[in-house]
Amino acid sequence: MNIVEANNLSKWYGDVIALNSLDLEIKSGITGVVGPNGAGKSTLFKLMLGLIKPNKGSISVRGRDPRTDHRLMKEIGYLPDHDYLPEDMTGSDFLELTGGLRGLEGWYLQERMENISHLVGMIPYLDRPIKGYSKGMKQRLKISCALIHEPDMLVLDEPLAGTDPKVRKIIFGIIERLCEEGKDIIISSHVLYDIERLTDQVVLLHRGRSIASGTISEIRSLLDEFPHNIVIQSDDIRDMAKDLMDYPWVTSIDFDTIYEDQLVVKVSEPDLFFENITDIILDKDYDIKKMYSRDDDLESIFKYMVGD
Amino acid sequence: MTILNRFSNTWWVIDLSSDRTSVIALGTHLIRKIIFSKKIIMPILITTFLVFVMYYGSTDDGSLATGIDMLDALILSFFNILISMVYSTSLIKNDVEDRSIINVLTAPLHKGVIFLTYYFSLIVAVSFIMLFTTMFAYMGYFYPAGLTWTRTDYLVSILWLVLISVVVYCAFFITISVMLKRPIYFGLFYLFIWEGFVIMLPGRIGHFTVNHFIRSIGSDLIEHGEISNYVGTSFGMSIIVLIVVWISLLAIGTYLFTNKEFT
Repeated sequence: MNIVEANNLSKWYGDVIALNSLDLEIKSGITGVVGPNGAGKSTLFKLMLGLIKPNKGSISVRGRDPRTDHRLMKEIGYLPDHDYLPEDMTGSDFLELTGGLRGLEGWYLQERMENISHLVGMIPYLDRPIKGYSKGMKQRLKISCALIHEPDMLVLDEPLAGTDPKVRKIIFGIIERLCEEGKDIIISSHVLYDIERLTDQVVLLHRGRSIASGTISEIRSLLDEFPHNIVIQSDDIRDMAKDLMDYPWVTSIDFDTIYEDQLVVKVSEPDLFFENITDIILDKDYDIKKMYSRDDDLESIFKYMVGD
Repeated sequence: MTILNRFSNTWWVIDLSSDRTSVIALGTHLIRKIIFSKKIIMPILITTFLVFVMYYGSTDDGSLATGIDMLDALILSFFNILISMVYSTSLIKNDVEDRSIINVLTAPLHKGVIFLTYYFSLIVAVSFIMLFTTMFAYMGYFYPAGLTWTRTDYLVSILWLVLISVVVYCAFFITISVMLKRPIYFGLFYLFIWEGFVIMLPGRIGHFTVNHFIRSIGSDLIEHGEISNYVGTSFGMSIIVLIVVWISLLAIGTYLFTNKEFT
């Protein structure tokens, strides 16, 4: 069953097009919406929640129109990417308000507050004013608010942004647990690796369009299909360059003008390069200080796919 | 209980019984927020100023008519509108600006209900503030003049007028706050130019102010001071006009809020 369906969905703010004739189907389970900043992820989420209305096309969530069916919000928990917590309230007061707004009251609300706070590790900090919270605490409080009414579906906009490793671990744990409970989760990030840890199902957004959707492995394989610029830092770069030139998948080699011990190898088939480079290094006992691909990220996939 | 409304393109239903908990949670939060915000310093300073001015008026004159005139000029014609405007134009706008409204908009409440909850919470809080301000101002004049408990009927009448004007002005300014990006500038223009100046102009143009109808009602309730001699619209017609204006403003405000986009 599709939990979200968008047909020819467009949204623009003045001259800026946020979503451009987007056709999208998101199925039950965890789905990652991945894209660089400005790709239209947050706009898509706001449309899912009925906070804004489309200029063109339509969107339905769980088969209903989010703009007109406010009861849908009973089934959705939302974590926005921006900070919306009132600084002068305590975490406890804000969580109680959020629960109350979602129709919870009395002992059930207190029980939910306790359970959720325990789950996200916020119990020791709940009575403190929010203005004294760290970024991680705020993020955990926002997660508590999204979960307080036990929604069946979660919309999490960049939940890992700006969090330290400890908080990331907690958030990953919560999401995995919710997934085991059978919740539908839509999570956005601009880091493919973050999404890869959580789900296999991904939608790639770029400039308001869905440029690819499918499993992570399908998306990942795209990385190996387009040329990469690989930076190698070593004291033996001249000898290495001579050796590398013998391979057909090396297109060109440039010596860095700023760092004398660094070269940039352009390879047409990155998978073959990574398969062979270990042997090359071991054979000649090259001392490698650093080696990385400049193109091993989402932005590069996007550029490659949209022909930039 | 359900209310059917047709402000948007489609019929929508407000289920009051199901929304009760959410509305109470939001309303209580908003009332607390208004009363315990830093902005409360403004009515406290105004009240201090009013007590001082009223006390001075009392020692200077001390007549019943002067006391009524001072309450009329200071509270009914100015500070009541000012306080209603300051709170009404900032309540929703501040929540939109600091984005805390997202927490409210993602609750399972119709946006129309959210707007009306904002409005009624505003009325409760501003009426509460104005009740204290008016009581202190009254005591500032009538206690030293030895009239404290002799004309409490006038105090009750003034409080009624304050309440009616809070209800209408808050509806007006909160609707303006949904409509305009900088509602405070319009509010200041409205307060000083329209309600403060136009009402004094000769001819019938002054009848297009809310204050005209408030004073018309006041002329029927109070027998002393300038307000008792105010020649305006009849009591019944003034009540009807204010009710129509009030409902119209709320209908417009609800429609605008329901169709507003929150980015």
